[in-house]
Amino acid sequence: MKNNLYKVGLTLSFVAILFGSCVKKLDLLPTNDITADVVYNSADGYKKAFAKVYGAFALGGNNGANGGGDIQGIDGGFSDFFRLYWNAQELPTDEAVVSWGDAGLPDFHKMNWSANNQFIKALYYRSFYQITVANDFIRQASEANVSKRGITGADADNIKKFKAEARFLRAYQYAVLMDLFGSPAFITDSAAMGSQLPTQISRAALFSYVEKELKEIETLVAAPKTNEYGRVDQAAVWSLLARIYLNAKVYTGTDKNTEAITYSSKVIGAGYSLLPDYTKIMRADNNINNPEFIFTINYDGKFTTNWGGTTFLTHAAVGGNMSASDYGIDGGWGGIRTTKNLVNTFWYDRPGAGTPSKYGLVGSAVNNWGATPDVPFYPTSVSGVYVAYVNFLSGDWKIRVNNDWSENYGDNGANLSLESGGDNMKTTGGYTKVVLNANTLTYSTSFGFPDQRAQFFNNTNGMEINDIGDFKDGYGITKFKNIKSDGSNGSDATQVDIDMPIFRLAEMYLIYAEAVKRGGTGGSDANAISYINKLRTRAFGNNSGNVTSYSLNDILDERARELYWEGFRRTDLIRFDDKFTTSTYVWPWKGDVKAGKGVESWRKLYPIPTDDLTANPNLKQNPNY
Amino acid sequence: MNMKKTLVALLLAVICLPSFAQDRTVTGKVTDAKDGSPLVAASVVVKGTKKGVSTSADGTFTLKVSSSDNTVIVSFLNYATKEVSIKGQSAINVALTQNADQLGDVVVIGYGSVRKKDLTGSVANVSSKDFVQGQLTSPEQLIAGKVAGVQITSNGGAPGSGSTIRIRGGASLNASNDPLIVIDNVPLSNNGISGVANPLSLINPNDIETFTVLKDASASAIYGSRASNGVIIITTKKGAKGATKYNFSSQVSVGKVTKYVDVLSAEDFTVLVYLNGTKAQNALRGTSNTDWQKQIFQDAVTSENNFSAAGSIKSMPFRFSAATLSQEGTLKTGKLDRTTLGLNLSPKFFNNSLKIDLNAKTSFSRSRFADQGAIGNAVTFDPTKPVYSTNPTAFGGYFEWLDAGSTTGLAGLAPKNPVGLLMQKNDVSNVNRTIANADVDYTLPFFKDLRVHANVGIDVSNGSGTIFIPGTAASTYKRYNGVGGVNNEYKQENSNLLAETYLNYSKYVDNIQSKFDVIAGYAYQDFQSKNYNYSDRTAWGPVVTSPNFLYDIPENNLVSYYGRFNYSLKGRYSLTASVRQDGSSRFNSANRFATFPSFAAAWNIAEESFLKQSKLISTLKLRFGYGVTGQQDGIGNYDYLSYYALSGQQGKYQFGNTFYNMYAPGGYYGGRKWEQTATTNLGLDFGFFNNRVTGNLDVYDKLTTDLLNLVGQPAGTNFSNQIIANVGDMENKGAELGLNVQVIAKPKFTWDLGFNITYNENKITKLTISPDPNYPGNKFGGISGGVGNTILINSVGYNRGSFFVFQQVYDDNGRPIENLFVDRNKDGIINDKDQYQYQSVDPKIFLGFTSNMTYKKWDAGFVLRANFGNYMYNNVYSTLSNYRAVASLATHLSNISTNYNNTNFKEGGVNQLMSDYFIQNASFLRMDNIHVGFNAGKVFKEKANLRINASIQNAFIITNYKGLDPEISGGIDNNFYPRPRVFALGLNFDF
Repeated sequence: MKNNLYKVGLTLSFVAILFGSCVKKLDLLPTNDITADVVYNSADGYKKAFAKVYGAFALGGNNGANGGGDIQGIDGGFSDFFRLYWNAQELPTDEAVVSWGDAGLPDFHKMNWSANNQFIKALYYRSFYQITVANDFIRQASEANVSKRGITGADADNIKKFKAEARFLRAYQYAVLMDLFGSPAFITDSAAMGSQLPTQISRAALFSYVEKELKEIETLVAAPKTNEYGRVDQAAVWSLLARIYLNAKVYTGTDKNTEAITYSSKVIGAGYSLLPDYTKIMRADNNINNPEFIFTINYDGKFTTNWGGTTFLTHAAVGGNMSASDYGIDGGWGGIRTTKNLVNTFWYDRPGAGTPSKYGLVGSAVNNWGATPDVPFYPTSVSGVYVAYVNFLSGDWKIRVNNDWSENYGDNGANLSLESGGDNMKTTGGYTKVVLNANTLTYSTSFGFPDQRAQFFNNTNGMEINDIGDFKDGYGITKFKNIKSDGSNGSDATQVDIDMPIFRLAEMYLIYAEAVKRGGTGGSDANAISYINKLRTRAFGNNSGNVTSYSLNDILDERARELYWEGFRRTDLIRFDDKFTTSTYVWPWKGDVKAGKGVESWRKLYPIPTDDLTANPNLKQNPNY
Repeated sequence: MNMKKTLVALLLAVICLPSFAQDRTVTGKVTDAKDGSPLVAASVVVKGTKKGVSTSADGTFTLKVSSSDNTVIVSFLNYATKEVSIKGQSAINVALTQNADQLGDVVVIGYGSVRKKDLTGSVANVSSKDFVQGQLTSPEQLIAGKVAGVQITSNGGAPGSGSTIRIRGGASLNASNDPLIVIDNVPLSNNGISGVANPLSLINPNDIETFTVLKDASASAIYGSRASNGVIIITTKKGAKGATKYNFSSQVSVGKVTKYVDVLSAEDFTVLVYLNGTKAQNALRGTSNTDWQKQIFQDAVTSENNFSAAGSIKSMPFRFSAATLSQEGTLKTGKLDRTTLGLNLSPKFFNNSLKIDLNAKTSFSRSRFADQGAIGNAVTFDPTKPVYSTNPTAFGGYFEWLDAGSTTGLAGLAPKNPVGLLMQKNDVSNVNRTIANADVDYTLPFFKDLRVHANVGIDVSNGSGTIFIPGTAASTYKRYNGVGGVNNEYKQENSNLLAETYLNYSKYVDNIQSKFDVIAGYAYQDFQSKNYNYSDRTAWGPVVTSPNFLYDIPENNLVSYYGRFNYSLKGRYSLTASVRQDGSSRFNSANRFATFPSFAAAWNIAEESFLKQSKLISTLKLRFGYGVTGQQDGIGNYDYLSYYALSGQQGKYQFGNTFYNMYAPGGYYGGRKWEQTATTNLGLDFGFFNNRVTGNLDVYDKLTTDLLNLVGQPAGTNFSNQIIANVGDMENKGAELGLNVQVIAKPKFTWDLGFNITYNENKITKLTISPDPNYPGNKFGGISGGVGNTILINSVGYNRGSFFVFQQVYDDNGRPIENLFVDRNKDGIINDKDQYQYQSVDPKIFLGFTSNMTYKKWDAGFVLRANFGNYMYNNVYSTLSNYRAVASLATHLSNISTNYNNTNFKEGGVNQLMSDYFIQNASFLRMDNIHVGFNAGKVFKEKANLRINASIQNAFIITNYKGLDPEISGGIDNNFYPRPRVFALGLNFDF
């Protein structure tokens, strides 16, 4: 019996041990990921967390181009800020079309997007991602938290600056949301993470918030040009203020042009200057010795990699007959190019919208020996003198009248005088300005656009877009090159080094000029003209393009020429009497018709994504979506 | 041992009935004829009287009889009753043979087994004699088409590729829909193993004795949190007492690809480009005639050898098995070599009161994975181009599309030569997996109704591999600093631990004719992996990236308490109730535990007196069950809290001249808890004509609530905009019918038919916290043709996995009009608001039909399977039915589908891609398997028995589906590895 008692005891204790233990084993921790308390226990940890507040701007996710996207529900390569922002700001305008068929992407140029569009949703959540990360950082960087963790002295002072910069990035993203969505959700660092549902803020109230934040931050961040490259300083704060003031009427109904002048002037006076060569603005080493950039998103082919940002702008713009190595990359993606509207803004001689003359170009150089209408000459201010801008192929050309062979001109002896039925003229191809003097029957040709900002590529089909899906329809843009200013390639043939300026001096000049024209006080026409001429002098290489006066509409064109593909166009078109949605200004395939047509005016605002409306009952959709 | 004697005496006192005159004593022992083990509580009754005793714990009995008593009847549950003469004998030894018919009548149900007639749940049992024949390399294929409600879809034709198993449609959306698989009482983890296509393929199918499928929750709820998608219990073969029996079998097979994607021939392609192409496109055209798909596929030989020995060493039963498999892929360069070893020991001690069952299964596999990207490239590669270029050194001598303007010299986005992809990639892995457990069952000597059962199991696997691509290969040419190729390695170690113990009280109370069976137990399971991170290296030199951390150890564990109560009265009325409480490390401590109850009852109508004499009805049982099960697979291990992750080497941010790693806070969801599925099941088991015709009919309703569902987060409240939360409800309703008919049952001629049919209806009833008519649902199912495009959606009111498409407009001749769709919401524009839910991936009805015939020494059979109402997105057609696909970029040409002749589309485009025109009915009837066998009888001087068999797998398929194969798990037909037709021949020796 003793033996049995022993066995009973053994059995029961065996059972007891197995039953009783192990519950606490349910508390497990990840091996490599760590808690907030571990991250923020040193100044170094703060800086790495701070790097994410900025990095949320540049990268799709935490592992660069190799997956790990911050934003779910969209391909990681599409999900970085600038690519999404660019899609929303450029694709529904005259500056860009895209040939790809990724769900929701063609909707931009067609201007028929819905609240379920994956790109719009991802952009909204990307902005909020940076806001949320910034909110988290700001809470962690509170003085109480910093001192609690024993960080003092210079380290603590640095963290104060970090915090101010995080507030700036948050304000920037709220400004983006204000511009794109009007009345987004709104939440700051005041509520603990996830503790309350964001409210919806009106566009005007959001304007006040952003303005107030920026003015508070103004004195907390570093003086202009004194911070580390890539970080925010006072000039960035002023630049954003200038930008939102310029658009204040759209946001609030009230002009703030005087303030726009005040703050753009502050930046202009802060010691920045234009990079001498416009064609080197978007190059692999544009982070080095660049006096023009105020604040940038930093990319790097080795360490800050993604499939968006300037990697996207460089690769996607290359296709057709463009040679990838000319852009320092290993291959083009054949996606984005521009419409003739942008090209035409460089056609200074073209009088207005222009009525074509009876003269036209034909020949193998324009791929037309008679089957299709001629490339027309346009009248100039001098009677009988006509001009044509044409991107010649290598080949022959002639001038023909009335789209008919009965009257045609060639050049016997290549002496620049025209003979009826004369010999073919020859060209090796390229952008050519052809001036025809019908009075004297002479002609002249000059190569290229005189404005160096016109960085186009003709893929043989010309600038007309018959088929958005065909990359070769429409002009390519060659502004972005993964090549350094000395001609050597960037650090990687796939991932691009070019940094993307969020603010650069040229924009401040144009804000100043526009605000003056719009009636702001505190500036002068003379200054405005001098600023425009600075841009033009750089563009032309001399003062041949300088102006003595300008109109408001000239500013819109100047902005297009100077800032195209940098993410401004939609905002600009809306500010200029809503050229964005109305039929007063159209471009190829606006509203999904080839000639272009107006669309519903409510498309000036993007819809709040259905996902957030579903998740947050505080939100109301923008009208008509 | 006093206690024991007391108990025996008590038992005798109870059982021995008031006695007649007794003038002599007969003693004896009752044993199992098979292994000689004593049978406890067998009854020994004098024929024609009520005199009798039960055998004691060592199988012995002592019976007083009168002189006129000549015969005793010895009986034991599930054993053939024997009459033994006692005339002139005082001691008899009786060996009872287990009743073959009754053998299958004991069904494993998890933590024990139950007599089939006491079974209350919906449980299907398939034993080895009913397995699908032929060369099957992965165990689940053994029961494909055999069980109503169980759908097994192989994932393609690659060596060792697994299957998607769905029991009654699966209960989850974003969590796993895979059933729990339990091998010899060890529940496996759902984690994959690096270097192996399918973890189950590491189990040797020849070692398996039975599959038991627990389909409804009343049966599976004892497995609680992992049982929502059903449970498959696999029991392996064991040794038996007696002479050692050896078996050797060898099988060889050839797999052939019988169907290719229909693309244009070189000639047709040439004409197409000539007629439609620009001058530049025509200049790209070649003059060769290459059938690229035939270039990448081959006839694949598989050989397999199995050896087993089963018997006993002294009194310890054992079974040992060894097998080798060598399988080539039909896609060139793919190969799997596998060696499996199995050992089972089942010793018994202390008069069988202590039973120990030791199982160890180990496998070594070596695989070379063919680059499956070659399949898609072979479909689209220009047929006018040669396999090899004229330059024998560039790109390994393979023809590639060049672009003088690119920094690499290659056309960046052009497809790479598929033959080059295969030949230039050497992706080799070695995987070792061992599943072992020790199962101890101890009947308490002082209290024989109570058993203590303990089980300790491990499932350990190590996978490692290397990938090498030479620097000359086009696929990775000059990918980093001018150097190309890949020279990488990977490694993973999994170790899953199970420790559990339960108490089992089992008692038959004679005077109330009631059987009680109660268990109470505890289990602890730990699932741990160690994933090593290595540098990404070029073929010979520079490191592209190196990892921040050398390894990661994801881990989760489960703590469980469970109990079950079985009661059966008079063998007619059964009742089961079970409860399990599980705690998971994946949840916040507040939501960590959940309780999963079940209840079931069965009524054996055929045992009632009014049917007992029926010649027609031999079995009739009504079952009803209800139970709740849970799900927690498919979610993160730790993300109920936010953790910060340090960014990788390519994810740094630059301040000044320094690049900083970033600490990113991770998304989290503190309130996450178990997904729960409540299943109600009503079933009827029936048998007619002495069970010549048997079957069962079940109807069920599964309601899943708190679906683990990927839902949008309010912007600004989380670090992730979507997170898996418990939002949503889904319902599966269905009916299953299984029928087995012994058409002919003569000694020399038998013919069995099996038929099963399943109807399942799935509907999502809730997806958002509050109903939102503007929310279309969760999109998923990525397709090729544009990045991030999806074709499937989960929407409220529709079947899970419905296609989300535009409604195509057709011309008078029935041809689709390119990019013309119905403006379904009539707002004048065509955008995603015009997409609609159309059909779904899941079949509405699926069925299996099997036949087995034996005639003298011959046997033959087949397995047919059919699915109805399942639809497929033909991604090959959708991307390759337009001319744009021929020359999408200026650098190269691509082949297109012959379906272009039906569409003549010019551009394609995103809306066209998502047209309902490409959703095709994929109902099918497939002859899975035909086999024939011949028993040649004794060979080798009568020492061995030889059986020869031949089979054809995937013999034919009847379908209207236009693509390669109508049966593709997930419903998207794109770059599918074709299932080969396999011709196998095998020899089997028993000696």
